[in-house]
Amino acid sequence: MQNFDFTNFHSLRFFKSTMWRSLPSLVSSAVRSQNAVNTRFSSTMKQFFDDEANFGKAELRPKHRPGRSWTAEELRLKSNSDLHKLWYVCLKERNMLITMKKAHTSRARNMPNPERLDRVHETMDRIESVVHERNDAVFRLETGESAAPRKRTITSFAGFTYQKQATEHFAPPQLGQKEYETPYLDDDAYVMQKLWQEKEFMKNRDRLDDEKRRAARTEDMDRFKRGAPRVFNR
Amino acid sequence: MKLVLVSTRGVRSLNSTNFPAPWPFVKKGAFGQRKIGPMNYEKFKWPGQNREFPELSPKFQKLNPKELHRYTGVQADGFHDEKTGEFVPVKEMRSELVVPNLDGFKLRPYVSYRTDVQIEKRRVAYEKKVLEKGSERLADLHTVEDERWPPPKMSAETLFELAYGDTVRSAYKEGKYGNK
Repeated sequence: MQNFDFTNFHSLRFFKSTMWRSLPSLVSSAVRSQNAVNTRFSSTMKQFFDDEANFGKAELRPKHRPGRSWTAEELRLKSNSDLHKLWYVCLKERNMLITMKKAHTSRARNMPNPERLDRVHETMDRIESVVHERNDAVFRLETGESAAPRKRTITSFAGFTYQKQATEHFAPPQLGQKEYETPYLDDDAYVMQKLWQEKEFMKNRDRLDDEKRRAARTEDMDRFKRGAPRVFNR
Repeated sequence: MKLVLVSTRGVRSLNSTNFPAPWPFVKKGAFGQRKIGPMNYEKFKWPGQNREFPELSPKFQKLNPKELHRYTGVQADGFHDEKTGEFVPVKEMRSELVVPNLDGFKLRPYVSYRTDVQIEKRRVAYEKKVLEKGSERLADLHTVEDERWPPPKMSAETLFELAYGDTVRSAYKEGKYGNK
């Protein structure tokens, strides 16, 4: 679904809104004369815009302020069809908010309650997680496998082992093309891993030293800006 | 052959050759040909200035790499046959939007903060029931399903009870699993 630009739609009601009233009268009269034809757009397009009373306001009225986002526990109480419909309700709300955000940005105005966009995103993410949860239960019951894509453990050229999502083979893999997990490293990968472990060991040692140093500080040291000894008798 | 006349008397003239442009952000005062000579406008050549990434956007520097031909950022609904060179549309690859009818739908994108009061009541009541019964399983037996908070996650075991539990138990009682 596209986000239509605000400037493409003009109607008489937009001229009466607060946003246009704040412009200089000469400019607004020029714009009004250019758009003498009263263009109306359908109710479908109207759903991409907020209420006119909210244009350019600092904050919504208390009755229309948004609540919080849906939590996963609350969504678990809803049926699949309700989740489906709620997804599209949030999708429309998100598209409206993105449209109004662009419109306000292009006019250097503050959008009222911009946190609505974050809350709608959170709600949609949680709807997806709840749907995945139910899908996972069905797959585990019927097939014993998870609903998430399969993962393979492979070793990179530098010797790091990590999980990678398995992909479909359209033809048998050529020799040396497929990646596997290497139990014993050799050559440069071995040296790389040795140096990496040494680096991690050093970082951990420094972290422990910092913890000791912080624990050794007393209240007087903080108050009078004195430092603890830099070196301990370990 | 010189495009710019260079002085041979050891005197710096006003030709732009004598004024190589520094990095643009180093210059404090005036800009332009007259002050500092030609400007090297390099900002658009460095990736990340406008949050774009060269490996993803075919518009970066207008290079139009071959690997990004026909890159539209959406899921493909077919594939290009290497032998014939034609595009083969696949019906299963086409995305379909299943849009429900939202007439009369009461849920909204946001949840009122007043809901937290009811949630806290249910949570306290359920925790009290768990302490009374000793375990969550026993507490679930004595709790109304709609009032348990937090509501349980859907798991394969729950789905088994809902879908197959009674059937499997009755078959087991009838001795259909061969142990008797």
